[in-house]
Amino acid sequence: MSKRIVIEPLTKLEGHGKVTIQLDEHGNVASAHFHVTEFRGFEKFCEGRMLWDMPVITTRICGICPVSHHLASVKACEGVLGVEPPAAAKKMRELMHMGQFIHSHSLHFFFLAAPDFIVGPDAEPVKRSIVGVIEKEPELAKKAIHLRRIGQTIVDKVGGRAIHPVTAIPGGMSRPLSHEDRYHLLKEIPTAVELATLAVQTAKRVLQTYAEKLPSLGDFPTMYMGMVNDGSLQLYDGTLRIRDANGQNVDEFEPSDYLEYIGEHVEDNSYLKFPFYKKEGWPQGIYRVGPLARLNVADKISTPLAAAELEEFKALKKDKPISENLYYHYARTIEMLYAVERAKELLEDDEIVSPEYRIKVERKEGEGVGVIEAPRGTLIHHYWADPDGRVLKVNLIVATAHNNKAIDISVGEMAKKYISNGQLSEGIMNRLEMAIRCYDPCLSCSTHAIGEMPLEVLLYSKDGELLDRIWRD
Amino acid sequence: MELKRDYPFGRDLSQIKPILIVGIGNILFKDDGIGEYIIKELENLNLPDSIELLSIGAGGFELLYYIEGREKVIIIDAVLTSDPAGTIHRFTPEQLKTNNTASALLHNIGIREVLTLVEFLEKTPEIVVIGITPKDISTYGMELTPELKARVPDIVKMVLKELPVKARHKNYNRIL
Repeated sequence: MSKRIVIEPLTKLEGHGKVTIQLDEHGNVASAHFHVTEFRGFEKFCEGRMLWDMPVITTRICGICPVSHHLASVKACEGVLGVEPPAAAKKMRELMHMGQFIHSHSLHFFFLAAPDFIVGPDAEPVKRSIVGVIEKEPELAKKAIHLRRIGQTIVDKVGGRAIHPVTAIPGGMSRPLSHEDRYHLLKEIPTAVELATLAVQTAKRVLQTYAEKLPSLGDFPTMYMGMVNDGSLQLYDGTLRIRDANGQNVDEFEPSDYLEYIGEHVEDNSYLKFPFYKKEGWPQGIYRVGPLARLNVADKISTPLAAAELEEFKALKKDKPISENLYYHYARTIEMLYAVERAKELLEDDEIVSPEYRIKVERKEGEGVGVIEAPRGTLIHHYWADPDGRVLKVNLIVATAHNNKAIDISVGEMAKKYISNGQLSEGIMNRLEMAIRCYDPCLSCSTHAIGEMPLEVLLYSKDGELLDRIWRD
Repeated sequence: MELKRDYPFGRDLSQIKPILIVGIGNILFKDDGIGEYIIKELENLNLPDSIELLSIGAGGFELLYYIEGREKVIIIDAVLTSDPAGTIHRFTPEQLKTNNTASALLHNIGIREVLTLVEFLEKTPEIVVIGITPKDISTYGMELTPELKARVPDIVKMVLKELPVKARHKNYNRIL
């Protein structure tokens, strides 16, 4: 049976990952690139729809970070309409967002990343999944499932649905958080704190063991971008900060001004554009987003347990940014702990059950930008609407786009390290996959939540002849 | 359309409805939304209280939480096969774990992993997957192709036939 059957469905959102490797006359790597299918078709699809439909339609883009699209979208709508939602609505939204961070980060860490480390990078693919973790560390697997359930329950209770939430509407929320739900969610928090702490400890443990076996999954200097509020890590609302490879703050701006700061570079070998920091130009202005970038740009974290972990994290490089891809996993677990602690703060705040959770809005012509830190990095929704509320134009920049060049560079580093005689093997496949997976790009999550990443590697001679092709579904 | 659902906190499995019918698929991509369309059809039938209807959209792994504690779970999804568009298939978990065609289920949500993990839960339900061969799942559009639309009544019947006798609808025989 043709394997093609299995690959094709995976192309339907961001597509499966494709890596092309070009060899020189000695059979060594001349260049290697990472390609993702274009995302823009979705923007066209949205044109002509009504503004208030956008938060519900965009949540369908992805099954793993739908809350981010839902919230970035509703913020963009409110930008168009020129309204600010009531404080209670903002708190409920942030709580929903924390729920998503808890389940998305724990899915990625325990189910996608940890198998490579706990079961081993060279184990057969079927074992390098949560199934292998269950065999090897069943108690850990059970706890991972439990932590995910807590995150999922928060999204379910605040978002109205566990998968594609519906409750955030322009002007606020469609319904309040009930006292009963608040009480039940608070009851789950101590367990969540315990499990997220376990995640951080597991990250430290596996990285320590692993670092001895294989020192690098890619390590190169870039700039970093992430949201902060007065220097503290922010995931829901704040300013965007850009910090350079040496740890100097180079800029901080209001998300709505993103077009002044972020440019998009086009390269022949990729449909997906490469965002960069305009003032530095291309390619000096390449920056990364996501957990590692966010911790690199933040000075501090506002919640106590995560703050202590951040200090330890920062001490590794004496407060300089960490550039090694592998540390994305570690950073992800610290964010998971922050998300749990922040959820607790929000739930303890009486305002979250306030009856003032919505203000009335009027149709209005205009444009609006909604920016949020999705689990994988900065997510930008930008809409233009006519006086009837019809969407005229949409611009989306998703986390995987910001990280596009960094993933491309990582692929190049790994290819050079693991290919020398013009031969591809399962070993190189695993290493490429592990390097790409640090960024948790959408192509692995939206169509293929669990298990191996759909990935195709093409090897070309210096004359452009296809020498080898390996792929996995 | 928002689906009414009562998913209890914690692990109080006694409160969970014994039968779950779940549609998987992304309604943004035409026939990929078949699972959700069928759920909407079923909603109009006023099925007995022992049945919960759920659209899980493009979500995948979350399915595990909803499977837990059920007696029977019926999953509806698009499946890529070489059959004509609209062909209806029925798979058991065993077939899914071993059959390559079946593993081409759209949303390849890690269904094998989910089915493996189900065994790891306290109560393992009987699971059946109803797969429909789509015509178009790669262009944006929120409606089914005519080929699949024409098959909706048959898919609904196929799903109803899976219901255990005690959960059958009072108009069950009339619909079938």
